[in-house]
Amino acid sequence: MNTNNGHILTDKQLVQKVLQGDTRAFGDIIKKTEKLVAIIVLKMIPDAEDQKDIAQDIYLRAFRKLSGFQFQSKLSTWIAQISYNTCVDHLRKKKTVFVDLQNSFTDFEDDDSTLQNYFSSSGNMDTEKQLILKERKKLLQTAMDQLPPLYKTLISLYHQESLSYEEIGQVTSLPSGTVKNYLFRARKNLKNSLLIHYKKEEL
Amino acid sequence: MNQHHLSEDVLQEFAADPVKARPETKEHLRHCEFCKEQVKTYQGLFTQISNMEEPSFSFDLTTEVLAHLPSVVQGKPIKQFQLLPYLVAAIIFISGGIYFFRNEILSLSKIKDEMSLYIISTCVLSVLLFLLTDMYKNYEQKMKSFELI
Repeated sequence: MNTNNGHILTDKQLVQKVLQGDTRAFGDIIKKTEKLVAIIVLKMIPDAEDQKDIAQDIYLRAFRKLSGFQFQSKLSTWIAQISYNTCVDHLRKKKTVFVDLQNSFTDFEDDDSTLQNYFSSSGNMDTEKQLILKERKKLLQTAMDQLPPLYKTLISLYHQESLSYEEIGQVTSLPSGTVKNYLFRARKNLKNSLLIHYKKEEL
Repeated sequence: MNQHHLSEDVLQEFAADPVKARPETKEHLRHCEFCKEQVKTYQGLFTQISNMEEPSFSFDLTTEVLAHLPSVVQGKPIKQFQLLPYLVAAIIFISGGIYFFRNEILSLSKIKDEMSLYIISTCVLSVLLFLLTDMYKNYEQKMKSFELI
């Protein structure tokens, strides 16, 4: 990692170094932002080969535009914005629906107690419980995979990357209210998918 | 849903960030077991999501990207280096021209007709200005196309 007398360089110092021709500094920028880019690319793009090409393309675009970056947002947010736009362009070219606005939900209003049991019984970590937990992780992953690309991305950015509604709005160029609304739909969709599975399991 | 219970979005908001919840929401949850259970359900869901394996690339992205960068980064020093032979050639060409045509150049000072001198110098300056403007426009266009890629 590029350091300045033992201190990790700030975004501004890293950008300046890259603009002076230091490619190692750009490597540090990649390492700093890779996790966020991975969340967006892996959630938005289903094909593994495309994921690799798009991830490279994102950083090459960022590199070319770096001299125009004005630090009006965090460097990571700016790169995430490029990532999101690159993925959306790709999905549009492939004519893939990345947000399903027509999606209707099946409500299970009086059955939340069943799902509450589903989440709460993970206290003791003996072998059987660990297996159940592993199975539930798998189920949640399956339910997540079934969501439209944008919903998956929003859920991961909010709950895994701890981005605020405003930051997600900056990345996706969506108003905060829309981000909130999509997140609400995505979570409800996820909860209902798990409920459907839980009900099937009980039968 | 029962109109006396909290709406789904309020429940989600509370589960995600209880600190920011409105006092009425907190008050309602103090008494309503049904809504409390729903909040716990969402909190369980959120905990599971945040505990999910973080997505990561199966390849070394830094190496892959850096392998494609040098052509762009090293472009600057190569360009500067390439300018030197052109500069030397230009100096030799111009000074050679001045040397070979020294008599003609010197005879320019002997032109007594101010009108001719004015026309010659205006033509030379206009052509020079036109060429410089054209070169600058080309340069700007090329720089813009690099940024757009």
